Amino acid sequence: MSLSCEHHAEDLVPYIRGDAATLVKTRLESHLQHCAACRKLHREMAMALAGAANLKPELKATELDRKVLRLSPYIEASRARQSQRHRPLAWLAVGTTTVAVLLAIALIAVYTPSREAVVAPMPVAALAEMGVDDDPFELDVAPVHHQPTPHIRILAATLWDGQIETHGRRTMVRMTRGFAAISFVGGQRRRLIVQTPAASLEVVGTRFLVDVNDDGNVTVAVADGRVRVRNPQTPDKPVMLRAGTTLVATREGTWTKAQELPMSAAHLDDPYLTELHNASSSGERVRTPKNPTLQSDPVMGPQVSDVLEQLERAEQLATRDQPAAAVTIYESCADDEDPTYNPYRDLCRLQLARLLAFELGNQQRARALFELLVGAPSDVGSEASLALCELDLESDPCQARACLTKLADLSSEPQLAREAKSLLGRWRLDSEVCK
Amino acid sequence: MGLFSIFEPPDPELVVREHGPMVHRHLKRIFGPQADTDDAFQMVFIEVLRSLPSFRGQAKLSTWIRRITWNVAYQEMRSQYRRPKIVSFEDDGHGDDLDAESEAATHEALGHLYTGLENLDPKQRMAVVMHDIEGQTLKEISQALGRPLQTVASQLRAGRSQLCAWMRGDALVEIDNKHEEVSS
Repeated sequence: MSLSCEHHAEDLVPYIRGDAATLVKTRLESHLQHCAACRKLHREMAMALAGAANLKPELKATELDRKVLRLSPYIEASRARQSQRHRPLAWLAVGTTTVAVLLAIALIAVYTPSREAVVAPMPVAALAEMGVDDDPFELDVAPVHHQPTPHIRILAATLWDGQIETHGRRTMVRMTRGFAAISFVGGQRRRLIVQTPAASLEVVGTRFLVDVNDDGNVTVAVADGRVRVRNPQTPDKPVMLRAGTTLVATREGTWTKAQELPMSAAHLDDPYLTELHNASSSGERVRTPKNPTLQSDPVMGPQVSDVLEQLERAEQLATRDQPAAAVTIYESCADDEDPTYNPYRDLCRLQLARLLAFELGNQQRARALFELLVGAPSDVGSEASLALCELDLESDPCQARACLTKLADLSSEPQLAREAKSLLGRWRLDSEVCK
Repeated sequence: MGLFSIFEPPDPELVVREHGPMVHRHLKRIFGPQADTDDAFQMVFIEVLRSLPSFRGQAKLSTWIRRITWNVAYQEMRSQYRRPKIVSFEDDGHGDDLDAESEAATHEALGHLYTGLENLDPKQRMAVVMHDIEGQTLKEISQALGRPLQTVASQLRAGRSQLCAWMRGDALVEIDNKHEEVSS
């Protein structure tokens, strides 16, 4: 292998694609004749590029149906927008019938009740008669903070069952059960959509509460700003909920609106978002901190910043071949019994276990830590499960294979199963290893 | 076909059903056959459905959707690149039998290629994927990603060079191991 290999490698892809100039081609071919490493690289690269270009994975009909179903709210919204747009040639028709249309519009305006009037206002007391608690938003368990973006904060409680997805400036919250107090700072084309079984909420910038009971009925109370609510059965007729109003929507499509909030908006007090609201309304540019989720939190901020600094330092030490020093730092971070003020505790434990297992050879302690982390939320639990299999790779590859095969069959955790299958391939743990 | 049909955006559900398989194919080629592309697929069509009512037929619908796919893929690459990688692929150094024609070897080579691509800067990775795998010209990439032609060319060169270096390192390990095996 000579220095020129590096130079020749640059020409390899054009050569494989047939784009290389004649001179380059001749030079490269002469080099390939006596360089085994470059020949192997050429063979592998040609095979990989051809394989990648010929990939034609099929999308099964059932899979496509599932994807279409998942996109159905967007499909409906797109249809609604399409129907609102004027067609260019429709203007001709409009031109020829202007007078008639204007008359028709005038008549419709006189005789059609307003959209707001469709939903009859009702006092809070009447909610109880509908089976809604007097205070459906009473927090009976400690709320959990979610902050998918710097501009959205969700306090979830009462067996909250929801998923949060962020796509660029658009955030989608799917709630099937439970209570959530949501604060959202709008602007700069940010959008928040909350999907519940009985209604879809489009939020421009506001603070509001959502409660989904076990029957799928939904209560929405707006503390400030406005929320546009769509009934899934009539998505083209949204209702605008203003501050101080409450809407109860049932799965059967019955909507009832109350004029008062059935609770105080105290649950929504949030210094961080209040500051963002104020800055946003005064036109001031809002600077978002590096890790707004936790660092900017008035209570957790200082502790979290401290942990992050420690983690950074430990990573530096580990990459500078000082694993023992890194272990000391990870140990202090991993020891916290209560993760409330150290949300990185599990990550510290994972990194500690990895260093112990793969740098310092302390398999026993590493195994205990990995076992502790199996089932932990986020990716840490999955990483720990995979690492446990990895521990046996050298000493007992057959055991490692059995461990990974077990994970690969887990239908409840598709991501983990995929990773396990991928590792089985990467480590070449086929049935041969057990013979 | 007439003026009406030119400006008539198709039904959104039909768009997803008709172009979904194409988007799926592109995403798999971009991220690799084993990659989970569900979220990227969803993001592509959220963007398509959002902009569909204002689509005026300036380009073919499939071309327009393909561009959105590339842009979403690039954004996804950037977010993946920023995400800390806890598990890194390390080859165990056991050489294969160099059976270049076998399906297993292609599968393995593909695995190496996509692992190498994951280590590239997203801009370089996008240039390599679009040019060398998707078969787009530099001009098409430049237009689709809104970058100057020269920039795309240099990103492609740098990306290829790094990818080759990554794959060559891998090849060296295997060849060295083989030499050791022979000498022992």
